Amino acid sequence: MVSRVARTLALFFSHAGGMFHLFRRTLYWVFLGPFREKTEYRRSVFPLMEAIGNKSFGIVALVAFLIGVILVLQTGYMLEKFGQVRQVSGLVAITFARELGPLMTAIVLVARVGAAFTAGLGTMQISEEVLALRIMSINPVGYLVAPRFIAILVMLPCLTIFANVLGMGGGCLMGTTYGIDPWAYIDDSIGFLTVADLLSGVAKSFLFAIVICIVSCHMAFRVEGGPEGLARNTMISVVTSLVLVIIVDGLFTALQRNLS
Amino acid sequence: MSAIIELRHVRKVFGGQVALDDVSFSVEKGTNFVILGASGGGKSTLLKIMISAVRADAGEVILDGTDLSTASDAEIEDARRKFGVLFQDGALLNSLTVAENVALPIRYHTKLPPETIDIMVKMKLEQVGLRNAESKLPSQISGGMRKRASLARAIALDPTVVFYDEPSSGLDPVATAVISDLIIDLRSKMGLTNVVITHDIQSAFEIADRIVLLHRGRIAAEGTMREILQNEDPLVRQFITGSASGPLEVRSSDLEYYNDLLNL
Repeated sequence: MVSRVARTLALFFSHAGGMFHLFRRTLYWVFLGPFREKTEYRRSVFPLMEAIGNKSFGIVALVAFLIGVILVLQTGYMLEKFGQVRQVSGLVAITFARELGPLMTAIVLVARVGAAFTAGLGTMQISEEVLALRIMSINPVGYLVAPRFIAILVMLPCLTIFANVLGMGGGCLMGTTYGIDPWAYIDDSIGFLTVADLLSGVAKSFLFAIVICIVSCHMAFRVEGGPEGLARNTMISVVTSLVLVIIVDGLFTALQRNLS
Repeated sequence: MSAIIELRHVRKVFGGQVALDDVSFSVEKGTNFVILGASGGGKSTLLKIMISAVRADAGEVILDGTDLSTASDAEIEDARRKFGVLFQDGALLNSLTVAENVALPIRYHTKLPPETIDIMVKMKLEQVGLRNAESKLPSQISGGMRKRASLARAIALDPTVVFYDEPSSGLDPVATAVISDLIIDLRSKMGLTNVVITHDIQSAFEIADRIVLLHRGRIAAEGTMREILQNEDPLVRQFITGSASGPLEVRSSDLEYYNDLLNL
C-alpha cells in the first residue's frame, strides 16, 4: 500500500516536473529560439493555425450556439415568473464572456486538438521520427512543440470570442420565444457586459491554451510500448487536460474575485 | 588507417537486466563494419549508444575524437553532425514529401539558398535511385523506397559515418540487394564509414570488411568475413548456418519447462 502511494506520487512528480520542463523549453523556443537558433515557424505555424482554428470553428460554433439556446430555455421561464425575463440577455452575456465561452471552447479543443497533438506526436515518437530529429540536431521542442504552442495560443482566444458571440446569438434567438425583441436583447447584452468581463474570459483562454498544448505534447513524448501505449497516453492526456483546465479556471476565478 | 569509432568496455543495464557488458571494438575509417546478432542480443542498445541517443552506464564511446559518454550536450550536437542514421523503418517525417525530408537537415544546418538546396536534394535522391519519387509522401512509397529515402536524408550533409539499423528487415531479396549495393557504393564513392546493425547473415557477408557477433550483450566473435567463417565456436557456427539447435537457445530447456510446470 505504502509502496503504491510512493509509486503514484513519484509518477505524479515525474509528470509535473516533465510538463514544467517542457513549458520552460517551449517558452525559450517561442521567445528566444527564433533569434538564436534556426526555426521555421513561418512554414509550420499557419497550417497548424488553420487545423486548430478554422477546422474547429464549426464544432465550437455549434456547441456555443446550442448552449446559448439551452441557457435561455432553462433560465427564461424562471425569470418570467418574476417578470424579469429581459434580464436573461445579461445573464447569458456575462456567463458566456466570463465562464462558458472560454471553458467550453477549451473543452472542445481538448477533445479535438489536444487528442490530435498526443496521437500525432506520439506516433512520431513510436516510429522514431522524434529520435531522427534529435539525431539530425533539430530540437523536437523547437520543431514540433513551439509551432503548436503559438498556433493554439493565437487560435483559442479567437475561437473563444467567436463562441461568446455565437452563444449570445443562440440566446437571442431563444429570447424571441419569450417575446424579447432581438434588438432590445442585443442592446441589453451590450449594456450588461463590461470590458473586464470580456478580458477575463480571453485571459483564461490563454491559460487554457498553454495547459492543452503542454499536457498533450508532454504525454506524446512519454509514449512507450507501441499502439497500446499511444492509446493509453492519449486518454491520459485528454483526462489530465480537462481536469487541469477546470482547476486553472477555478483558481483564476478565485484569484480574480479576491483581487476585485 | 585510424579508428573513427572506438568502444571501450561499454556496459548498459536496463531495469536490472544487463543489455551490454564489456563491449569493446574499434571501427577503422572508410570501412564497412557489421554488428551481427540475434534478436535481443543488444544490437539496438549498442546502436543507440553509438548515435548518442542513450548514454552508456560505464565505458567509453569515442566518435572521431569525441567521447560521447562524457561529452556535454553541445559537444554531442556537434558530433551528431558527423554522422547520419538509417533507421529501421526509415523514420521519415510523414507530413513531409520525400524531397522535403531530404532537404530538412540541409535547411536547418546550412544557409544555402533554396535553389541550391533543391539541386543538392535531387543529387542525393539520384544517388539512391529515387529522383522520380521526390514529390511523394512516405506513406505513398514502398518499404524499400522509404529506406532509400531515409538513406538519402542520412547522407544529405555528407557525414563521415553512416549507421544502419537493420537495413534489410522487412524487405524482399531484390530490395535487400539494392540497399546492400548502395552501402558498398557509398563507401567506395564517398569514402564513408558504414556501421551496419543486422541479423541478416547473407547481406552482412556481402557488405562487411569486419564483423562483430553480439550474443547476450557480449562480443562472441570478431574478425573479417573469412575469420568468422573459419571460426569453430559452436555459437558462431550456429548463427552462420542458421540452425535451430545449438547454444543460441530460442526455447527454454526441458528441465526449465518441467520446473516451470511444477512451480519448482
